[in-house]
Amino acid sequence: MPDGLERMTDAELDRVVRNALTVEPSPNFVGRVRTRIAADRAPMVPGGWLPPAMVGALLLAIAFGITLSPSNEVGSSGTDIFLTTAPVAQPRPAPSLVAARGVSSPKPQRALPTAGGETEPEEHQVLISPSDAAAYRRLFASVGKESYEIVSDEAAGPQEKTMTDIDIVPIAISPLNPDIEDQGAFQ
Amino acid sequence: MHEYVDRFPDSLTHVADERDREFDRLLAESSPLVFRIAYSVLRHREDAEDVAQEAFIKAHRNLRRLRDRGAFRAWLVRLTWRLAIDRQRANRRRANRDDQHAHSLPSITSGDAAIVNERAELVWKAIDALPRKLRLAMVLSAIEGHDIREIASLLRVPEGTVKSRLFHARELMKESLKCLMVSRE
Repeated sequence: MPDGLERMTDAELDRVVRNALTVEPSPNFVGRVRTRIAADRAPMVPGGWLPPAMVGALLLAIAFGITLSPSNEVGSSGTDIFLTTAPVAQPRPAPSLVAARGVSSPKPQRALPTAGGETEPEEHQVLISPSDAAAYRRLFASVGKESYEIVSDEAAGPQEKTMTDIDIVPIAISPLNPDIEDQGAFQ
Repeated sequence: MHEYVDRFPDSLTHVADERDREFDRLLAESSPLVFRIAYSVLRHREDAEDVAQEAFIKAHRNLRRLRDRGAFRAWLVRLTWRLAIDRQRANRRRANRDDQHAHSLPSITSGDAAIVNERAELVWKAIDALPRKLRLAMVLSAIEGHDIREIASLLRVPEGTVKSRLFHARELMKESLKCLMVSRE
């Protein structure tokens, strides 16, 4: 039985407490702390996490912008020209339309029918010959914001459309050289 | 301009390296103190090392706040004490739930048998009976022989407060030891 504890002086009491606390951590304690701190340390990225986050955000913005950007189609100009099928006419394509696809939606989008009379909503591409493309461009340039029906030649049939609203630039044929007129076109 | 840009990243790594070296020095110097503070509360080597390790990790995360060594050491002491008290509470809750531990005595592993003898056991009981503020002052006074000024610096209290706490702690411990001796007889 330990004696003298109840009669200890302050110095003796301090010594007893000091002896009770004379404990050392295990020999590898400091090494374990160093290892744990090294594992806890963030990866050494220059500038921290911010540059990779910014790059990721930029890539997302580019991908989003590419997804939302409208496709370039033939005849698209600053004016809104809607090519729609005639409500009473059969949905027949113009002969010059090689592969026309449209979007079957209630809105008057560029939905050109296919040869079978059905609209395929996959693509927005309209493939026409260059000469037809040029004709369309001239038409759209001269029309402005008005909308027009464009039907195929077969659908037009015997109907004659008056071209009063379309200004077609007259073809100016300059007269032949009077000197060679009598000789004919071919010399 | 190019010279400044080239030198800038080096200066940053230089600061980080210097800070890590400083922390490594603090770790080597303070590990016995931190461990003993945790041990004085928990009286369990593994728990004390866990708490001490946690204290050092938290200290490393806040390393940029290091202005002077004294302030950081004091902060580390208070942090360790707080973590040890929290762990003691958690152990007691677990003990009450599991009914595996004694009421107030922590579990003592065989590795601690050499440390704890009968006299030390009574002293520990007396220390456990102290209020927390008095207990911390008493423990710091016993660890590494800190004087009044050093304890006041670590606890961020006036020296007079430290003296008062130590006086009351010793008186209470003598009373507790007297009672314990009587109860054993």
